[in-house]
Amino acid sequence: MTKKKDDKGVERIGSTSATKGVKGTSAVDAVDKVKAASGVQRVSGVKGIKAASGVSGISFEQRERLLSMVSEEAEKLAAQGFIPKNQREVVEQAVKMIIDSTLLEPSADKDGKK
Amino acid sequence: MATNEKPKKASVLSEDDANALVVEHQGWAESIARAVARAWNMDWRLDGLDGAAMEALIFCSRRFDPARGIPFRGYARKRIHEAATDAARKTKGWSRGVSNRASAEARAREVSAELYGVFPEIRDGFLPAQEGGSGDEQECRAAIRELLMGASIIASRQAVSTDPLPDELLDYRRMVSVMASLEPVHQWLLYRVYWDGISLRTVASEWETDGLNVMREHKVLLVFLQKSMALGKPTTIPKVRPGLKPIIQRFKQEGSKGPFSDVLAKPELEHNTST
Repeated sequence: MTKKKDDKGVERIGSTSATKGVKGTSAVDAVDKVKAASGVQRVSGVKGIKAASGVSGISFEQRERLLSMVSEEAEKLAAQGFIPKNQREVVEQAVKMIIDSTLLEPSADKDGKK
Repeated sequence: MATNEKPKKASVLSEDDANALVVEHQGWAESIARAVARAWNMDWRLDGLDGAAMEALIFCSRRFDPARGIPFRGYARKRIHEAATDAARKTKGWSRGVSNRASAEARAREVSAELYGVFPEIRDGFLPAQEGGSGDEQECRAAIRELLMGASIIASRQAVSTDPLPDELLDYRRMVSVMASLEPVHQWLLYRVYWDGISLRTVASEWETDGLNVMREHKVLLVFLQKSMALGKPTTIPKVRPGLKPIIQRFKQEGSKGPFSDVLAKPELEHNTST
């Protein structure tokens, strides 16, 4: 019997099922998976956690650029009226101070990191 | 049987190993003291910042527990920085300002010293974190704006506390009026941070909520303040995020309308700012 079936090539019809396999591949469309994952909108939360740990480390090499950015942003905020005119100098200087106080000279970073 | 197992004792270093840490990181600790001195226009040796940094370094070397997996510098940097700034604030020249320029510098020092309380991550060498954390220029600018806005609130508050000029009183009133339009929980957030000098993370733990809730809400509030001050009147009042809803209940039970609403209700401020 088995032999007969083999002779009729019934089994080979199974090879058409290989065509089904192609359908199968299209069925494994990532869209379905993404839909399922869309409920996991906490992905943004994960970003937030990364941000909260403070990823924006600053270095001494950025010093001049950072301090000039402070002046530029202070000017914008003063123009918008957020920083009162009579406070502008103090506020700008205070932020420059706090940033500068955390920038370590490069030589200190090189020696013996542990 | 581990029924009577005691909690693990901190495995601090031996004295020799701790001393070796001090020797290894002495130059680095001094560079923290120098950075603080440079920023505040002081002498790191004459003003005693070097000694304070060394003391903190030695203290940290004795308390450092390598088993916790935190690198020594990550553990010690904030403490050494704090020791250096504390020493600087105790010097005679800290608040001295004879000329206008020196006076502005002294005021800027005061504002920056308070700003550490709001943004303690600065002591570790980080700008206030932004969503996404890509570290690009836009992110840096957003962080700098946040620092500037925080500094501006502190400067306005400090200005009215000592013999304010009429202009300063008006600016203060304008700011407080905008803040008073906020939900009580938002008013309290700003008050605790900028008036009580408590960090955002401490407020979060006081309110028994996630730190991100408070940090994100703080950013929203600063944007609101920025827009409102630009317009000269409050814009759309920000909604309280779900994570802070339990706090609303607490303030409702206390019958608080918010510290700024309460201040505006007092006749003294009305009188002071209208003259």
